Amino acid sequence: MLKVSGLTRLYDQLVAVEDLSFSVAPGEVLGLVGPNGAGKTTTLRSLCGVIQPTRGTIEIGGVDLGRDPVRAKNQIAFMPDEPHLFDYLTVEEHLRFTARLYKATAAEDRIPALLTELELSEKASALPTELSRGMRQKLVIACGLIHDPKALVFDEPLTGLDPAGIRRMKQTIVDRARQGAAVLLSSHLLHLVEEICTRVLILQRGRMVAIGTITEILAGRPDLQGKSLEDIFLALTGTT
Amino acid sequence: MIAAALYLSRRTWANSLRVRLKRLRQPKYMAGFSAGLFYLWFMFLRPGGAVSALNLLERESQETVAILFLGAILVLNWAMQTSETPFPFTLAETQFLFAAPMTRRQVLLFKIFRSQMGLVISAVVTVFLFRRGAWSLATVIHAVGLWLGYAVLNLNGAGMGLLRLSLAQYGVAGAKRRIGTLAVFACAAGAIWWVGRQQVPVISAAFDTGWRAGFAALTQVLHAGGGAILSWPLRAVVDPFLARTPGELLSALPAGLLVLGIHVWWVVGSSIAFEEAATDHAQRTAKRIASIRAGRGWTEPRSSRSKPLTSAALDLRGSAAGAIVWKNRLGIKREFTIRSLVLVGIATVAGVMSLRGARLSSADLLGAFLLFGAGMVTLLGPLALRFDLRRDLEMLEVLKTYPVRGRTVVTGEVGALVLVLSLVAGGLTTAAFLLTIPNDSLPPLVDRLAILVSALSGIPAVIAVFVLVQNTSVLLFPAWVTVGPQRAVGLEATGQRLLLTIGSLIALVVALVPAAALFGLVMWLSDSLVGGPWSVALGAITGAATVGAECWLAVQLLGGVFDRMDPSSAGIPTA
Repeated sequence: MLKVSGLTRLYDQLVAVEDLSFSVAPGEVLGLVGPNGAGKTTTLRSLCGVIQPTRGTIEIGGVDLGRDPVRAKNQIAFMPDEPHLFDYLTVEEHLRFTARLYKATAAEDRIPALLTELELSEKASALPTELSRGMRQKLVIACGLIHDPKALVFDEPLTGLDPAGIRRMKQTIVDRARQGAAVLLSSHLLHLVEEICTRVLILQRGRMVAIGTITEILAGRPDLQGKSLEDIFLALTGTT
Repeated sequence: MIAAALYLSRRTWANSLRVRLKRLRQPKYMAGFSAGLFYLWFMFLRPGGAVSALNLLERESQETVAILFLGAILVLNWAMQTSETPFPFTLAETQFLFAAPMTRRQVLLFKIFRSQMGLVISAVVTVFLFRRGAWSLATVIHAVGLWLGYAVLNLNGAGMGLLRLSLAQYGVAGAKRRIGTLAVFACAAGAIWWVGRQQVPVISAAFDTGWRAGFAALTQVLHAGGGAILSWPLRAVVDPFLARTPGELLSALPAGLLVLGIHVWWVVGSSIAFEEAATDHAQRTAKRIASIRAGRGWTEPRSSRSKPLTSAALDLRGSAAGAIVWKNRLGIKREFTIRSLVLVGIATVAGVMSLRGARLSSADLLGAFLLFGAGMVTLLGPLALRFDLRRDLEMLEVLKTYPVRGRTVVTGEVGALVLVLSLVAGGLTTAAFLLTIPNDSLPPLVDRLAILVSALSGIPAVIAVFVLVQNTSVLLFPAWVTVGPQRAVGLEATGQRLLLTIGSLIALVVALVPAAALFGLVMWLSDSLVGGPWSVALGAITGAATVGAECWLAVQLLGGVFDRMDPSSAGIPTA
């Protein structure tokens, strides 16, 4: 569903991401982890068409993002860590606006269900300034789910959520994967990655240092057998 | 606390200077810097420039002009202030100051003290520029006087903002808390009404004989009796600026500092009252919750915010550009508050009154004013209303994730503003036309209809060009223009704005030249067929169509620019 080949992104002389290749199959949840400045955000922004790669290709549902961005973006949803919302549209208006842009004409019935699922029904006519940070985060996620995307990209999805919200968010991510969506999740919360991701991709200074299930990663590093993901992460990235 | 404020200001200034100097390595910023330097030299430092008109007046007249100017700025401040919070703390200030072991009073005093440094620099730079770079004792005197004026204006705006916030959020409870301030305002309003009732006819009669006599009468009123008492706070603030010697400054300064001190006391005291009101509000809410738990039912608390204006739900079928138009139209509608209506009303009355001497009928007066309004909407609307890429570029990351082409985004962003402004300006023009129907002294109705058709064709074309030029600037030079609430500052930003203004004018002329040529050609060709105003109308329609085609082409090109735009390297302050 998501296929990245040789992704490289330069900022002047700085190499943010270098020759990164991976894929995410339908139903899979790939965790993207790495220390600060490893290139996670650049990777996510490239995947969603926010920035253009210096080199490499990105395919979403078999569609090349560089060649046909409209068709490719129609199949993906990006949920950033900072909820960016239009301050003059209400909660429901955000959903309608997003649905129209994604040509999700069948979303009329999905809007109430999504509002209920994300506990936003009572805030349907509220402006973003009247929402807490957690609610704004939920709204961004609702907007991302409105067109029933085949690929989902989350950047720190649990930021600002309360414990009950965290549990529901994890369930939402797992449910979408079970329904056949390919999920890419970037987070510093390694216990979250360990809990819901089927595979892990570890980035360090723009380069991939490991990818696979934890068992597969450990196969290449027998010295880390029995260690937690946190220990594996620290050992592979050379951070302490 | 003062040492901390000084340290923060010093480091902020030094670091921002370092960043700006580093930016000058980029050619576009260097070009802006050079243009800014030239602009400053040409406007302010060039030898042999004009002498300030204020210096040509007598001392008492200078004071009158300064009082009227300060009064007008205060009134505009009260009317136009839109910020919900009078103390716009930055995120960093909020995180560091509010979490620090400081009382709210100390936080406010820190903020007030810190803002003085910016005001002092502004005052010194302003006086330096207007005195054409000449340093003398007068420069220092004027700088002190100007700082006092800036500081009082700044604190007055903050105090009024707190008052408005208190009334808007807490209604009657807020009014009770601010009863002292409201009583002072009520007394001042009553006194102004009482003095005005006596003196306005005198001043008006004097102006009827000539502006010199009118101005003399105005000066007399402001310097004698009730007028002198009422204008004392304004005079106390402007007198230090008008001082010519250190002695005059020293004698004028105590009164000015007293007014400033009263403002500091008012603002700090208001904010504490505001916090108490907020605490009260929280306590009332807690009581209501307790009431429910006790089974006594729920009393709906007063909402601190009004519900957003409702709008027809967006149909999920339709174009993406249409959705963006809908979004921005909604934004404009929600931005247009009751206060805007009041301001329009005041402007209408003032405009109609200014035409009082023209001896026109009421309908003609109103018609003239509607046409004036249409002109203002056409020429200033595209600059004033920013519901297009100037506002939405802050959301560039979000916009770029949508499955739409750049040209679609640009069409929607530009289209909303063109549509709304054209409807308003066209509506005003049509209303003015309807008002002229009974008037037989004007040209024949059919000719007036032709003029209306010409205007209705030309208005959207002109608005479209203006809006497109603004959005082109945003897309081509995102770091040069104000995107969202942040405003670029510095000499290079001044120069960049100058270059942008010149570029915008050139673009406007370039866009209008082909349209004007076709307008003239069609008018000339059709003159023998339809003649007179209708040939103008045909020419206007052709010209508007030409502009439309140019705009379509521009949108295609700008769409490509949008598609290639990279938020991380465009210098856009993302949300």
